[in-house]
Amino acid sequence: MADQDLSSTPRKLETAIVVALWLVSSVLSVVLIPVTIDILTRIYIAFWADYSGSVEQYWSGVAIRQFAVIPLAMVAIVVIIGGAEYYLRNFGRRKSWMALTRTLAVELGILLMAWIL
Amino acid sequence: MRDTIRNAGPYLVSGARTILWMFLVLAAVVFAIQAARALSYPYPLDYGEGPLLDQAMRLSRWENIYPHDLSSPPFTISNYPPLYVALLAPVVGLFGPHLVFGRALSVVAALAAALFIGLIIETNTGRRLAAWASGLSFLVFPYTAQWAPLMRVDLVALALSLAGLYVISRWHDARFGLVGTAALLIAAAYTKQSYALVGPLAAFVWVWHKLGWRTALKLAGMVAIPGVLLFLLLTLTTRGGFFLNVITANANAFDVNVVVDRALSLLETAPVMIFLAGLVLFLGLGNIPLAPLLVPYLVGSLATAATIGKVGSNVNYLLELAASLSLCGGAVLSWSHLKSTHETSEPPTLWRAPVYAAVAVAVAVQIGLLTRATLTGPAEQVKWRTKTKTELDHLARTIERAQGPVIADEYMALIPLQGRRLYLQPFEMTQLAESGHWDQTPLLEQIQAQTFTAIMIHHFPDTAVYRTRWTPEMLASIEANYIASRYAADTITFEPRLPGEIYPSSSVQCPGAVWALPSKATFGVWWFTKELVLMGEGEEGTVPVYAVADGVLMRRETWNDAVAIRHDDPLCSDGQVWTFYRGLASAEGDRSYVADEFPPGINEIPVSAGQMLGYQGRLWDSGSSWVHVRFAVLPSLEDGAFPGALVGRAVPDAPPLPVEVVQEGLRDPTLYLGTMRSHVMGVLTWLPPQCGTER
Repeated sequence: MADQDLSSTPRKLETAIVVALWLVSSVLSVVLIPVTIDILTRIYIAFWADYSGSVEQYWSGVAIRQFAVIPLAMVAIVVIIGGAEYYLRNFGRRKSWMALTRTLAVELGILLMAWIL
Repeated sequence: MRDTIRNAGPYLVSGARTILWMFLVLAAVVFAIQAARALSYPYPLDYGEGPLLDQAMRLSRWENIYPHDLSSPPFTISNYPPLYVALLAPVVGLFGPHLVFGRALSVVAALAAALFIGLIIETNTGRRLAAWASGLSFLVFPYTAQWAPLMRVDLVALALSLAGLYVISRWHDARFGLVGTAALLIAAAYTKQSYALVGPLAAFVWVWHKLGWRTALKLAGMVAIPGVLLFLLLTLTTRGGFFLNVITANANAFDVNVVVDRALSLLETAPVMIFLAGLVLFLGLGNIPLAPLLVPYLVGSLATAATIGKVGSNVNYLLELAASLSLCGGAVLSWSHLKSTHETSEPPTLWRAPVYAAVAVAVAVQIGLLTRATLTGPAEQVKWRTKTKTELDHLARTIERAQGPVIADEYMALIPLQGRRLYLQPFEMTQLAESGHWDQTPLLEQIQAQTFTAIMIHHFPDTAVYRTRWTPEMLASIEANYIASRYAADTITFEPRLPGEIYPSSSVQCPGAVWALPSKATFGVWWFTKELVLMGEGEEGTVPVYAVADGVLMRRETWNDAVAIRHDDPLCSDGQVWTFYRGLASAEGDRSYVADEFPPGINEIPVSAGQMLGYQGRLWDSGSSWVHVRFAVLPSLEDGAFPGALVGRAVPDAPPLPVEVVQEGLRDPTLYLGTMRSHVMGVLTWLPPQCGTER
């Protein structure tokens, strides 16, 4: 049903929308790295940090940031490069739109979490 | 436009579901961490854990836990029916007294309650995401996150009650459905007596709606008759002890302000849930299939929640409300999903998908708000409690080494953890004494006779909770016959006063001292860089503060909480000193407890030794603390002026203090009072209110 609906949209407009949304998701994937780390740090502080400035707690907080940044950076690369490849190969198909939707949903979800927590 | 909305519908739904799943995973992780931290902590996290552990130990030895006669020790009460304790008794009997067993049972019960909430939704709507959302939102409610990891009865009772509702919602037309529901609801009531109301009410209305009033009455009979018979059996076999402990001892005073505060807090924490529950309540009947079950459950849980105003109650009274709000949220989510798919014979209307997406995102945001409340509330509480483990090791050793009985309040569980019987449950017996159901004279005589090796009173900095746990007579007797000797984990340990020993007070000077204490220090003295913080016993504005010697008093215009007196220095024949008394104001700083005869702005008012200056307050710089007075001795300036900069009360545009005055700083007050002192500077150090030298 979605494919039939999309074929009614002019192809240039569809291309522009996909590129624009891919760009947005790519930028967000990088911007959300420190945001995600802040969420993890927030949870760590709530359960373990006692604001005493202990050396152990400080370095635990640093370790969280350092260990989290690498996998998050990998995820960003997957979103940017992997996303571009996937949308190119499956252009116009429902699964491409669904993947883009879910990627943006995850990113918006992280933004919501950061805002609420 | 219509085509765009229709085309975008599946993607909106998918995106919204993704966001909701993210928040559900976050909720599960937060609950898991909270539960794990509490389970791994060996010491008490709540006052109520002690009595339950003691009861489990006694029941494991086949002792009666419902005494009918409270005139002789132990002065303990079993507030709840026996099911929870009966489940634990074999385990603690086999493995010894540990809090982890009861806490694990409570966590498992919380998970079961969440499961049954989800199953009620899924069974009656077929919506799995809504079921997950209902169950996990219940777990991340701050009330659940706070109470689930404690050794308390409530989550087990709730799980049994919800199991009963699940059985009746799924198998209401099967015979075993009625029997099974009745058994589960009776089990819930015999875990905690307040669960005899809401669950049975909801089941009754549901069955009436589905099968008619005759079957509903049959269910009511199946719950009420065995329940009452069991009650009579327990009351008879304990010679009235069961009734006394479970009914009479639970009737406490009520404070409606607590209800209002909690309602406002809930409105702030769960606005979406409350809105969705309102939809179910006012529009659900006829529209939402589960409404005949959810509406009475919601109404009943609101009534139960109102009893949180009872003195001594806590967030456990809000657990049924949390469950009902979670159910309502899941019901509305599943209803909006049902209408947005092709599962009806009609095609979905244009706006159903966006509406479902909006509801899903709203529920996600709600779960986020609940998660935040859990992180800032229960998670922080457990964190701060577990930080005192080292100090609790000291308290545990004190109890272990005690020759005679020990009584305690907040950390009462340390006593059964050492394998000892509880001698006194202070809060419960205080409530019974105040309602006239218990004569505290035997206990007062034992305090006077110094029967107890140690008495441990927990003193929360922000509220005098201990005053609900000890009667004024008990506190007066403790003050007269015991002396604060140790401080750990915000708990003061009192030990018997030694005969012939001199203990300083506002009327008794230490040997060789030139001044008596300016006020009572029942809960000890904090040394803070040559300033003494004397902690009196009582509400703010009730513990008098006196001038330590003759002098002239000054109170600056801006001093809401302080006065200063200039004296001749008794330790230096031609010198003068100032004594400075501060903290004489309410916690918010809006009410001064300085005596009316010393209004702000006065100067050079003669006062005599022992003259009352005001009352201890709770103001501490820009915050608040225990009821106290801060006392400092300052050198007088050459012209007799007050060196306010030494205590952070410098006059604007005043000239800087002379170097020698700054270098000298505050005078050591213990040289004048003869009390104990410390070498520690810059950090609050607790000292017993005794004569002595260094600690």
